[in-house]
Amino acid sequence: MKKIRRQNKVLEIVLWIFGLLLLIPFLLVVLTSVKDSQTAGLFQLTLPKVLHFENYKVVWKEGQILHGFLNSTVIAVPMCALSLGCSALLSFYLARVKSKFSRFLYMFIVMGMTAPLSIVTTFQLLKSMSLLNTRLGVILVQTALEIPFTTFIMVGFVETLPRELDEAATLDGCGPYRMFWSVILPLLKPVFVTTLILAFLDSWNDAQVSLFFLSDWHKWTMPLNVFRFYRYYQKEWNYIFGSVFLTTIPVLIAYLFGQKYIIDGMTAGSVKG
Amino acid sequence: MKTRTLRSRPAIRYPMTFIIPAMAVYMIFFFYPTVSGFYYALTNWNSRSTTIRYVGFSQFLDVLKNPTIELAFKNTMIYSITITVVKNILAILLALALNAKIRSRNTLRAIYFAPAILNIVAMGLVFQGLLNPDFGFVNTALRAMGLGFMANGWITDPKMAIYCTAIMEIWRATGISMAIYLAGLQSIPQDYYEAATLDGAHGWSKFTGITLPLLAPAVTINVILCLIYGFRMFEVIYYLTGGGPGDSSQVMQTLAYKYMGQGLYGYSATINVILVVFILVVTIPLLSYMRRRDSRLM
Amino acid sequence: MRKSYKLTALLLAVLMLMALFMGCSQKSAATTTTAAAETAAASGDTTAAASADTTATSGDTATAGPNGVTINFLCVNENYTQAMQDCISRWEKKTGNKVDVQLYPAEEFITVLSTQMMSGGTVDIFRSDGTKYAETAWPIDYFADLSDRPWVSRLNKNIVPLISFSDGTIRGVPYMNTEYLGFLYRKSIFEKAGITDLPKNWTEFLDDCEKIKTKTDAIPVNISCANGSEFCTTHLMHALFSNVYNVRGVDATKQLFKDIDANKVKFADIPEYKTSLDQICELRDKGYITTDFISSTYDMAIERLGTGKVAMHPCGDFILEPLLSKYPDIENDLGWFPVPYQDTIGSVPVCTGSGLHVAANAPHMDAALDFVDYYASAENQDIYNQDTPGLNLFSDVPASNNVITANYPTYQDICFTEIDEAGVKVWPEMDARSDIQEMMLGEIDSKGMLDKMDQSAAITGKSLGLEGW
Repeated sequence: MKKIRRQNKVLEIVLWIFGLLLLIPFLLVVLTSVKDSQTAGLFQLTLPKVLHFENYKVVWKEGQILHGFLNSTVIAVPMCALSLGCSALLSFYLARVKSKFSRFLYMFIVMGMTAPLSIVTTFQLLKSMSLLNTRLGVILVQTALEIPFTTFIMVGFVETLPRELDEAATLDGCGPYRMFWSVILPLLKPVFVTTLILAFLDSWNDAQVSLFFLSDWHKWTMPLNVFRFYRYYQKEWNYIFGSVFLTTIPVLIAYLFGQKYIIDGMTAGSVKG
Repeated sequence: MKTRTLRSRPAIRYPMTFIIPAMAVYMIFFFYPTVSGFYYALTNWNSRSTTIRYVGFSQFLDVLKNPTIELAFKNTMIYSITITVVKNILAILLALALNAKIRSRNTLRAIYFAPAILNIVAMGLVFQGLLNPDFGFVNTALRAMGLGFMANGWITDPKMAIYCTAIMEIWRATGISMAIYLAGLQSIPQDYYEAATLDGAHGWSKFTGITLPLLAPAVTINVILCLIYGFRMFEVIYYLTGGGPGDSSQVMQTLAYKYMGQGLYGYSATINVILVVFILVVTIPLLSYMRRRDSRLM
Repeated sequence: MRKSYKLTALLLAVLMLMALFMGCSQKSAATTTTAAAETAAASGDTTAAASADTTATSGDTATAGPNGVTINFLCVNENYTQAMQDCISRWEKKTGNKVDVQLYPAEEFITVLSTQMMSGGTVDIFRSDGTKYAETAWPIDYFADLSDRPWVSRLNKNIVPLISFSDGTIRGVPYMNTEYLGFLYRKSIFEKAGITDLPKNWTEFLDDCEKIKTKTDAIPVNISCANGSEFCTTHLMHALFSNVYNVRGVDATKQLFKDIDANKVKFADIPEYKTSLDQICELRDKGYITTDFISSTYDMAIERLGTGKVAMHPCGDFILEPLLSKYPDIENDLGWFPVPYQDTIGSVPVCTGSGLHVAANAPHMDAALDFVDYYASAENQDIYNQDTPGLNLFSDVPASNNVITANYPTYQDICFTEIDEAGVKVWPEMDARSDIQEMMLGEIDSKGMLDKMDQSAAITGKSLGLEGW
């Protein structure tokens, strides 16, 4: 026991050393954000003579950080709900039903990961549905892009859940919906939360869909806010990186929050007996 | 193996309605526009004329004859395979390490995941700064530690450039693979380990007997994801090296973008279609194989 | 059940956020209309007014006057200058119309506009990277023909050929500086090196470089060729390539461009191009350039010129704004001269600045044309030119000069030429940028680079379906 504890201590130290090394690029992001305009664009890991924390005031105001944050949230939250909801249902079907149709459907969906967004045709589609320049349009396109990815992950994990669970639940009188909701989903918690975070990350960091399909630059999401600092013939790197840094904070919080929510070592106690 | 009980097995219903929401959104907002977009690969759509002329598959042949395509293709393979192998090995090790009983585990997990949340454009600039051969942090640190011989041109060296992009991607996305492996580890019921300990098994055999086989689906997921997104990657290469110096680190997607920048939209679409076909041809058989293996292991 | 509890909590949170956001945008609409009134009246401004203005003039929430029309203007963040914003405000006040400005980042702009134009009928006015260069980005049918507008006759004679499209029509008017590509230099370093007269040919130029190298700490010529900054070096290439006009004459050069487009002449067959590239290589071989060029970025170029680490940098007007905003003290220390070629003083390629265009199928054509007419009117140009030193479009409006255009009278006799990129349909600019990296690294020589450009031109020519390919 003591040996394992000491091993773990050493492991912890090693992980911390590499972890801190891993964060060096972040350090450069933060340093650049507090430099003056003369040195910010050089991207050197040097400490500026003066730390210009007032840069963040400019970033907050001109970068429309709060606006961007709200725009991003209003798009990301429904997108996550929609894509996780859709793909959880879909992956349950694909994992459980072993028919030619379901195998074909699985490959069909996974193929969706191979092709990039087709801007012109998607634009025309949204236009014909009057969804241009709407957040709903952006949500739907982002969801459609995300579904293959989240389904692929979830199918792999649903398949690890034994069929006996479904049998037990059906014996108890559950219809498929309750079986899904009360039995399967709880067991998928680690996967579900992880996939949720990845979907959230994809939506939060997306700088393509929102750019092309939202023509009103007041609806710009957080990643697009950096473009406000692309000035005439120059880019104000210190402000840009301040904006970039602020964009990462909500996701980090979401990740920490999500990690705590996953209970360790799920016990599949319901199978026994 | 499932044993048949004397009792008749209950009929479990998996209604088709489960697939409707996902399929609706997917078909309308992705499949339909993307496949219609493929049509442009057969045309000479460009920035100079409003009329779009059908040219058929001759454009495919032109693209394949383009000498830069060969280079881009080779780079795409190098990039994709390097990151898949390295990311997965590192991610499994990290997931195992961060699943152990360590006090600051949650914080550490956040740290290792953090690179994935940073905007890729910003990241490209940061790495360009860090990898600057003359005053970038990496070379300066190497020289200070007496490892000056390891200091090289990084992204300014045509032979190293594509590997630098692989390094940046490994830095960025190992945390994602790690997160998936962690989810996999957390899904393994603890009782399996307890039962094994009772049976007298110890560390290594527990690992090979329980952990690895039950991680097989996670391995499949991660390998396929790394490969597909590796073949398709644009941002990491573009924002770190721009395909340069010269064309030495061009991959298929950056090359397609370059031609788009020249106004050759149809030509660019052809490159995209060729890439999609290639990915399908490689990953579908691989995926089938891995899934068959998974169901055997389970 | 706990699950539905959490779900409803989530839904409520989402609804709350949406309500909050809607509330926020209402508030900002109220503040912007008052801010618009204030800033329209004011002339001198600070960054505070600028930020208020950026939200103000995009009158998406404000509505046009009783008979007013709202036209939309697709623009790029980088070019949405204060001068243009003020011009828009003045027009809005004058006519009661509104301009809905839609901003996009420069990199995606061409795709965004193409997408919108292909779907038809949504764009009134848009800007381009260059009034004539626009022809390479979009089909000529996208642009409304402005040749009959009243202001066309007032244009400066030398501007007209530089902004006319290949079919002879005028389909745009510049609203940002016309770029003259040459060497921007630090006078104090030249003084210290003992250079009294500016070089009149390449030999004198090399001598001056030698003086700078031996007598000062500065490096003579800055070359920035990092990924994304290659344009700093291709500008030098364009400056030298434009000597084709001087050597052959304007008509012969126009014919040459036609021949290149028809695959009758290859880049490798043009001796002036080879000599130009050889001159660049000579600078490198003699040690007159920054040695870390492959990792030197545009920002580093500004820093080096601003702090005097380099004596000269090949560029155009565009660098003045970022350079002077970071290093305001050097304004009087800057000078400019064309890049010498062989035994001549050189020639100057001109990139006509960002242009204002009207879409051919604009839904509000009359209002859009009216806006452009107002922009080009003497009344507006008078004020506009004060805000934008260096832009001299109209013969009846006095111009204000910047450091570079102040030199124009000295070089009036030299050919100010159209940049080749805009004149040759198969010009491989993107490839030229990567090729020049390889050439500077020594992997290919000047002929090798021209051969590569020919290969790229072949792909473009075939793809565009031009005759001869």
